[in-house]
This record gives sequence, C-alpha cells and structure tokens, in this order.
Amino acid sequence: MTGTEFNAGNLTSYLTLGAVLFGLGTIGFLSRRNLIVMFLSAELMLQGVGLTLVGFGRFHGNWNGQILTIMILTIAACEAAVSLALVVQLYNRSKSLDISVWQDIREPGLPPIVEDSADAEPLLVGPGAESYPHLSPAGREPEVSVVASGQRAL
Amino acid sequence: MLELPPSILTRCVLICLCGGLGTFLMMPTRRQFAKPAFVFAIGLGLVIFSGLNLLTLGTGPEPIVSRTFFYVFGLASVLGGALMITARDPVHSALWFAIVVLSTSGLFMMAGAGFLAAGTVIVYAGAVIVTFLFVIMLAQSGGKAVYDRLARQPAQASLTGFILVWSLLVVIMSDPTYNPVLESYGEPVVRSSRLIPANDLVRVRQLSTDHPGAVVLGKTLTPELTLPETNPTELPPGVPSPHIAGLGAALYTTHLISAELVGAILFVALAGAVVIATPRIAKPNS
Repeated sequence: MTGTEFNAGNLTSYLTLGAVLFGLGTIGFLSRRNLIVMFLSAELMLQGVGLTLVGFGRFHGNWNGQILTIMILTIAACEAAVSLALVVQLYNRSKSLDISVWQDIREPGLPPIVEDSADAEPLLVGPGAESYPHLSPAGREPEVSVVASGQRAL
Repeated sequence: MLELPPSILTRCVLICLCGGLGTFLMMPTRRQFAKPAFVFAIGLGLVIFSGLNLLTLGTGPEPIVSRTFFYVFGLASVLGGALMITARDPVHSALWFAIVVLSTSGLFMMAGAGFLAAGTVIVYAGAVIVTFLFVIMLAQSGGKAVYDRLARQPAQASLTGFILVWSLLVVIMSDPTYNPVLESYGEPVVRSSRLIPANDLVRVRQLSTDHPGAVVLGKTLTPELTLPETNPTELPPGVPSPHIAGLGAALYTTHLISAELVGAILFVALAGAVVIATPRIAKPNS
C-alpha cells in the first residue's frame, strides 16, 4: 500500500481490527486467572492500540502515529520487565500463578471469590483432541522358574 | 451526530454477538463435565465468521494481492487473539501471541510502517521467548493447573468485552456529517466525507489563514512530520522516500522531549525490576 492512496475505507479496516484486538485483550485480562496469560492479554491490547495509531498516522499523512507506536513499544518493554519481576515475587510467595490467591489485597469488606476446583474442566477430557491414549499392557508377565526367582531374591 | 445505516448497525451487532458467543464457548468454562470437541469447533467457527464479517466492514487495499494479504493478516490476528485468550496451556497462549504479533507486523508493513514492523518483530520475539522461559520455570505444563482449567466468569467477561467492541465499532462506522471547523468555510465536499485527512485541512488553511484553528494546524503539521509519500513534490524523481530518516527526523526534532522521557521511564523500569525481583535475605544481626 506504500505509495498508493490510503483512503477512509482502509482506515476503517485498521480501526475495526484494532478495536477487536483491544476487546479480546480485555476479555482475556478479565477472565483468565494465570498471571502469565494476563500479561499476554495486556500486550494484546497494546497491539490493538498500535494498529489504530499506525492507521491514523498513515491516513493523516504524518509520522505521529508511528512515533506514538514506538513509545508504546518502549512502555510495553517497561511493563514486561516490571510485571515479570512481580510474577517471580508472587510465585515465590504463593507457589502458584493463580491471581485469585491474592484477592485479599483488595478493598476490605468485599465478599471473597470462592472457586471450587471441582468445578474445573476435568484434566482428561474424553475422546477428543486433548485425550491421552490408553496403553494396554504389553504381553503378559513372563513365567520365571523357581531357581531364577531365588536368584533374583538374592 | 452519530448516524449509522441500519444494515451496518445490524452487522456490528451480528459481529459482536457471534464473536462474544464464540469466545465464551472456547473459554475453559465453569462446568464439571468435559467440553466436547464440537463445542470448541462451534466457537471457533463463530469467531471465524465474526472475523470475516469484521474484515469486510472496511475496504481493503486496492490491488488484489494486497487485499489477499490484508485479509490473511487480519484474520490471523483476530483468530490468534481469540485462541490466545482461550488456550488452557500458557505455552500455547505464547505461541498464539507470536502469531498475533507477526500478523500485526504485516499490517504495519502494509500501512507503510516498515521500520515499526521490524521493531515490533524484534521486541516481541524477545518478549515471547522470555514468556516461554517464565512458563517453563513457573507454570505447570500442559494447562494442568486448576486456574488454567477454570476461567473466572467467562460469560460476564465476554459480554463486557464485546459491548466495548460494539460501541467502538458503532463510533468507527458512524458518519460524522457535521464538522464545525470546516463548516465555517462553506466547503461543499465536507458534508459527504467521513473523516478529513490532516493534509486536506492544510489546504483549507491556505484558503483563509485568519481562523484560529488554522493557526493551530499550521503549528501542528510541520514539514518534518509529513510522510514522504504524501508529499512527493519535495523529492527529486527517482529517489526512494527516506523512510527511517524521516521517522528519525520527526522523532528527534518534534518529539525530542517525549523520546527522552520514554528513555527515562525505561531506565526507571529497569531499576524497579531489579529491586522487585531481588530476593530479600534477612540479615542475621538485625
């Protein structure tokens, strides 16, 4: 597209894609409980914003969008450094990546969120993509003579 | 002020409903029985349908090759994002995030931001590798942990996220027919156009320079900020447009203070990460 016209329809494509990436990142950040996946969701939201800024900069014909995206990249690097350091510290204290462990640092007086582990999806789902094969025992147990078993007992 | 044709409004609602329902079906949900594979397939199909509908809301770039690449990159970024937030295994999440980053870089490249595409790939490749390291160090492999198998209120989260997306889509697709700045110049073209590029506003500014908005625009749209391909008369013929030189000139003249501030923030974050991640060893005498 470089060198050709970047019209309002092309800008609309970039804006809608950026909006959807931002929304997906929001959903991931709100609903996932793994600290690492939450960090990745925040990065997904930054990608959506960067797409929007680059589209706007190209549409208006100046460098401002790309420069703001460079700043977003830098801030994303800072965020990655600080948040992964926090992840290491939180893991050292609770031996878990679950964000629900840390719900007691919210405001006081809120009802606790109890997540019963029995509600979770089972580890082995039935016949499907994630099932593990059932291995039949290979052959039968060999018959050993008394002499050999006596030697093995020794 | 926001005018939207009913057909486009219906498509926005359809996109958000299908996308939200698909994301909810793909999410590791609160249920005690195993999720059948066809439920995941239905969710994936809904997300693909929603993504294709989304890409046809705007018009892609004009030659058919560019349009094909645009559709491939756009669909890959939407699908990768949806699969990233719904994958049970954090390793799979990181891999889908790599897909999102690569396709976003492709879209950057198609918008004429080649340096930014390369920079994104370089920075986020490092980020993904570091995430892998953290997953290998800390997480249980294969999404076997309880918190990977049980999302927190996925229905409410999907509803919230796609209400946000719906409102954004409505604002993006709506037709701002009234523009008070341009209305004062009596431009007949303005009524039919959706959004005015800044360079066209400069042309309006040249018509009458006494308007206060024109003065602000003249201070904002300096020549070193103008993209070279939108201002081809300043280049001698045959010379390629100086992409990185132009970006660097804009970054280190107009945005110099911002660049310095961002560097300072990076330094502070480095120091903060060192302070946070260092384990505190209790002194025996204190």
